Amino acid sequence: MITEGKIGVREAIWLVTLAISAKMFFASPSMLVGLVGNTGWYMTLISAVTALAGFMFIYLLLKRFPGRDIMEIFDITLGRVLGFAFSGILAIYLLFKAVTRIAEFNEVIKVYVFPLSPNWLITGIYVICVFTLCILGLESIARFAKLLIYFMLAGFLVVLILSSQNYNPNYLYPILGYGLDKTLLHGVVRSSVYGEVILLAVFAQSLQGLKHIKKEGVIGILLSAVLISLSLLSYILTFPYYTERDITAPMYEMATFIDYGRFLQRVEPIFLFVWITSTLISSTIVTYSFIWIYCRIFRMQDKKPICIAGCILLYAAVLMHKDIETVLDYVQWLRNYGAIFVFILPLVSLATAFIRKKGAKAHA
Amino acid sequence: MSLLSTVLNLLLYKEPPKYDRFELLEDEPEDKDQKENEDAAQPITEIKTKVKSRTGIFKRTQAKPEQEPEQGQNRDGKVTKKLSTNLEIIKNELNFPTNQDVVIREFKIMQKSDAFIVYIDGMVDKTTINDYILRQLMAPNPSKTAGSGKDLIDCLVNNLLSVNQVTRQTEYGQIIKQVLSGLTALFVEDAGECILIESRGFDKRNVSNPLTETIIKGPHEAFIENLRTNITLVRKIIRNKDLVTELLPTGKTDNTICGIMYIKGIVNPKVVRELKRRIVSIDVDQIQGDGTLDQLIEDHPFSLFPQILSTERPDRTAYFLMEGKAAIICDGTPYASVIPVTFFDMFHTSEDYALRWQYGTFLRIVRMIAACIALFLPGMYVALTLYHHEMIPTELLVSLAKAREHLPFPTIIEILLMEISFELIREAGIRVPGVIGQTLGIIGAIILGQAAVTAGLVSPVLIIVISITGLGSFAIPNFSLAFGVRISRFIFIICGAIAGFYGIAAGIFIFGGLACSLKSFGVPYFSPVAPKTTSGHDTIVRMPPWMQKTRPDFINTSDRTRMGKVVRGWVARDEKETDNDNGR
Repeated sequence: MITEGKIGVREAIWLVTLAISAKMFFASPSMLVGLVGNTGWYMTLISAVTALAGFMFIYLLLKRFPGRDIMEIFDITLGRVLGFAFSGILAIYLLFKAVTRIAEFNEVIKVYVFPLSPNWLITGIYVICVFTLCILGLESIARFAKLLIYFMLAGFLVVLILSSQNYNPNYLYPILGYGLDKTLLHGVVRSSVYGEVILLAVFAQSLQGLKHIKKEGVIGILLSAVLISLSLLSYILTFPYYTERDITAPMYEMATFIDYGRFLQRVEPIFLFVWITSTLISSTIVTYSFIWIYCRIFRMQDKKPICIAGCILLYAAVLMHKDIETVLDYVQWLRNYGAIFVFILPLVSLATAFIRKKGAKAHA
Repeated sequence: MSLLSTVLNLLLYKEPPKYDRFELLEDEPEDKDQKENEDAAQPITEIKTKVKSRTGIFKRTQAKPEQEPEQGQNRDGKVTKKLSTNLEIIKNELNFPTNQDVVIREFKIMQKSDAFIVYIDGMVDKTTINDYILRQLMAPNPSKTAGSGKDLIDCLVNNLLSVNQVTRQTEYGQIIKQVLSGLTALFVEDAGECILIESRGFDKRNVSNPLTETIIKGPHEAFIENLRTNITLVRKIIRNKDLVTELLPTGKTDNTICGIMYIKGIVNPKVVRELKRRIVSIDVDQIQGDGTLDQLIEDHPFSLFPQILSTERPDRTAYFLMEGKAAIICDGTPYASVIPVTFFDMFHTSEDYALRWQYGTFLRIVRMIAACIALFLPGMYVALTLYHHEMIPTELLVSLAKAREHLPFPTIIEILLMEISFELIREAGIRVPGVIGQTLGIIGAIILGQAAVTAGLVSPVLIIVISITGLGSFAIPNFSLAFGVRISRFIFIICGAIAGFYGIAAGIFIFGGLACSLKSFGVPYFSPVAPKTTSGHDTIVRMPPWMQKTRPDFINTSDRTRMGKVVRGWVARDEKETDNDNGR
């Protein structure tokens, strides 16, 4: 039976933060350099502000329908058919996001760590992990995220601090990159980087109420913005501009350059733990949200069969991509158009609620 | 047909059964708790009724046609007025005379009324029976007035039986159980009830030092196999009127008594009620001590992590009770089981509280590191040597490669071989008696390791890895958790062999997720870290005693505060005086 327990404020904050900031381990930073030069570290702050504005719409929508999640709200505001379609689109978007993240992980780990291991094995292990946690449910995923966050933050900061020996402030220049207009434009368009905040609306009934949802969303976005900005800043400081575009996993590369004498060097396998576990948590919660929405829109009471089917689908979809270039194209597409799914759909729903006078305010 | 149904069962979807999971939610205010506290003991009567109906003693009696009552005997297992009928029932129930432990002594009270006593030889104190029961009852005593039936029973209880504890009982189920636990039952003609006289006096071991939870600083008492003594050991530490002990019979056939201890007013009544509900619902023939009972009442029996803490120390049990937890002590086992517990409780020992807080904290951190070493080191070694050579510093890599140059086995076989040998030595060391066992453990490990290296079967580095892993697992204070770690270690070795650090990270992810889903009597296993709650400053870092003002939030105790606002009054006075001085 679908009987999700409640999760606390801190669990929710860290869950959202982990889900958002796991991207910094992959090719996103090098893509950014290609788009806006070396201004990525503050461009992401513009994206965060845009995402905060987008989240406010989601919050307003949830506030209008207290005690309901976004799937129910879509149904109420848009009617059963359109509501079903909106929820379905959101579910497919989340599944696609999970698939691209796992595929990205798969390719990067093959390049850097296991060049000889077959794709099916790496993906298989990954999907088994995702499946186990999906079966255990939201409470377990959130608690585990909360438990791991201390180690992850410690590992992340250790890499940033130890990499400081390679920082060169001159790499920050030109400070405006390809121009402020481009930075601003891409900053707004790529607000979908923080799109995982939609998970709060998906699991709204398992959170501690509206007041807390607002807090969780805002703090989650801000924390992620700080982490992503810090990682981008250290990346830009470490590598010269002309090489930054070619690095697939910047954080991993940074870890390989750490060298403090004979003994403290080549610490990247330790960084692997941080990288793998945070990516696993991130893709698990995204996959689980897909399963959750699917069960809700089809009024299914038992999520376990959908977990099995969902994970088989995930496994097959991850193995389908042609090469790393294809995956990066998908990622680029998601970054550019993701905001439509996470921020525009709720905005449409909110506008409809206003027009059709649905929700708490309408009856007040 | 059965094959077809098996296949269909595998393929077809079935709705999962609904489980009534107990959750300890943070909800009710203190006054409501108090009311529930008062009600906490209430279900015991219902529980006893249920237990009575489960014992089956009377079902057997009534099934025999020759035991049909002649007159005066009711059919619901009550004592009858006719002594001969009572005697016959007792004989049948206790399989007398086939069962030669049972002693039935018939006599006349004050040389007038017919009566008999029944007890189990070896479980009673014969001095009590001879001097304080039989001598008192059989002596002609004209000064004491004695009628018959109920009057006689009143007279015996009030005037004649000079024993500290006597109770009146009419239920045969209870009488048989009490006789089997060492009490003496006295039946009198025309009474319609029986007197249960406290006469327990079986041999027992003296209170001795703990065997598995030894410490340097702190008390050195451990539980023994006697329930009464164990309860007394706890009561000796907590001299509080609100320390409640409830006795529940468990096991359909062996009627093992288990005591539930808690402090009324501190413990959450829901926990006690849930504990009693679980114990009462058990329907098995035999409870082989706390180990079996723990497995029957824990939330997740398939998990490798223990969700009930077992301790042999009365002081530790007392500490847990004061913290707001409940303890179960089974008769016949020298351990107390504590509920609800968290993962972090498994790393605490009594010594932490006897030592200064800095030392206690340091020891806890050492134990946690030890647990990590015991769990991950062999797996990490496999991952390093098979997949991540780049992480090993060059000099170490060269010496490792040299050591492994002539080895016939791959790393995984090598490490499994040594791990299994180590487990063999450990198991054999326990089974061989006394000093030989310890010697076997040490000599076996040294000789076997040395011989394996000399024979070129394993590398010397591996011996170091296995030894440190062994030391790590010995440093885990909780025996059950150490077992879990020992088993999990093999899984991590395989994970490391399959996919290096990626495999180990995946293993950590699955194990961590499973552990986070656990609950011990409704309390999340990783409280107060995940979910985050107020810890009471005693999770990993133990803060100074005066800072531990509140009990852990996750247990939802009825009384949250442990200390007053000003714990160290003398410090406050000094501060006040300083303020006054400054004012002058």
